[in-house]
Amino acid sequence: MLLTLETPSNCESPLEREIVCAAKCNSSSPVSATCVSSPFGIPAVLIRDLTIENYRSFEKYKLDGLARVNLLVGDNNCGKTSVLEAAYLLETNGADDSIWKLLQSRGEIGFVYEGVTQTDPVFVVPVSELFRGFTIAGKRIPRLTIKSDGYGEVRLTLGSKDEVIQEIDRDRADFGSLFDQIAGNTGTLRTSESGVLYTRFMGTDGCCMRIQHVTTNGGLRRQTSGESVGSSISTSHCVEKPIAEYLPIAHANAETLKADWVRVLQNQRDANVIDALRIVQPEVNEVLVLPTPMSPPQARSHVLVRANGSNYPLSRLGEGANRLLMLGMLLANAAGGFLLVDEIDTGLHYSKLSDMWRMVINAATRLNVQVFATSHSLDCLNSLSDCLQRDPSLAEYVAVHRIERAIDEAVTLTGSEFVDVHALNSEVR
Amino acid sequence: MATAPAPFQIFVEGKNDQHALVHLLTRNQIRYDHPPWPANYPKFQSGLAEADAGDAVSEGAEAILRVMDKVVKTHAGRVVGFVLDADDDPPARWWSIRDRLATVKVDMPHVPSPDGFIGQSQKFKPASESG
Repeated sequence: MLLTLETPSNCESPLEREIVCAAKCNSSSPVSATCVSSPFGIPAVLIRDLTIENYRSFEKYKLDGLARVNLLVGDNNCGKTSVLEAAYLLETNGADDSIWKLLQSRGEIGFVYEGVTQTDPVFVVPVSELFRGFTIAGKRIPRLTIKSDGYGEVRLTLGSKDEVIQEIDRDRADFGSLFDQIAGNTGTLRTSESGVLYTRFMGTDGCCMRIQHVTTNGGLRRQTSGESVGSSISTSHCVEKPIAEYLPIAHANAETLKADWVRVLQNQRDANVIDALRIVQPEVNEVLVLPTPMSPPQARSHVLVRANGSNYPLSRLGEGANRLLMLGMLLANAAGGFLLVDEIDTGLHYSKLSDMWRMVINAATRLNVQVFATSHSLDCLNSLSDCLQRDPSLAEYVAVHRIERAIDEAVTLTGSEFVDVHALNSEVR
Repeated sequence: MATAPAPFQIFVEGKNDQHALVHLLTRNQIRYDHPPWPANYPKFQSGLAEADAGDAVSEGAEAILRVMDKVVKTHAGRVVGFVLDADDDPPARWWSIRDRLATVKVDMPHVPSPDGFIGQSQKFKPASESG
């Protein structure tokens, strides 16, 4: 079954998406997505394998034996984060906002000023970074494919549209979250043959902001006539996908944090977040997120924890608490879906990591979240092994995947195999 | 908690085997008797955490046999060695190793050569050496 996303008839989408067979629970579809029932009534899909073609530096790469909780390990620059990103793109159907988020999390989105007064902000969105073997000559059409035999397939193709203007609701486009508004808006990310996409913020015009994507060719900026994007890419006929949350190394901004917290409360899963924070501060019994719209984007002063009858700013508990807060929230919000965490041990002392793993594995199984995490830390592996030795029943939910560029597939160890190998101090990373 | 593993490892059943091998290497001008050793020297890794005695020796061998295929998998492109006793039934020990390494595409001869055996996984090896 091939499902191709509709695009508006007047919109020749340079960044085309094809989704082949999305996952579906409670279906008679011959697609063999693994659906798992939950005692909490949360349906879930487990991706069992992943194949990546032409994504970033991977020509072709495969992972098998994916489990409920997956730790991706390997050398620097081996592609751990790329695998994580590929899984995220598959799980989000390669949506604009997910592409934007991935580029942003790597710091690949640039920001320059231009114009006569040098005050017009221009965002540089190098979409071509995602495509392996991209060439300026444009003689081949770069396409990347990410698929899972039991789940679905996403293909992204770069085209050659020169310029487009998007219109964004002014009320939604406050400057602090402009990146998210652009990415989450109606349009298609567009790029020229050079693959570099500039987004120019053109100011207000009536009720809308006008966002102009200007592309370059061969390093020379070329501005041509614009074209309005009428409406969004329609996904209405596609099977609904589970939620996928991505936690990069960098902090989420304050607005995102507050939005995540509201979702936690709406789903009454704040106990998961408190469990996470208790790893570093056992006395925590409540989390408070205050409405402070004027906070700087990276502020944490509006997040309070209550412990021993007093309220403290979360920032007082250090970086590890911030990380656990995000981890707990995104686990809760990803119920029935996916959580992807880059460098999961960031900010945490090694003595806390075993408890962190126990919390993650227990929450993932309870909420039916499939977790993909990366690390190159020996402490992280030691602590996972320690966690699984303390509670061997958790091993069946875990797999460790060594991303090895020397071969075209990841080396996978089940949880119990990992414990055996690690016990002999064999290098797994 | 495990300490940082060395990039190259030789797995031995226990401390006694390690000592025997160190003396053998030293006698052949590979100086393992005075640490610190050069970084490119492989590190010995015992199948047992404790000093071997009695049945513990066979437990060390079993520990190595249990993981050797996984160790080969996770050492793609890196050298790894295994030293196992075969005092009681050499053919049986050889075949137990051969069966395990066959699962990771290491093709061992049916009988051991007096010159020893150095092999490479046909699957878990650098892509540049793929056929």
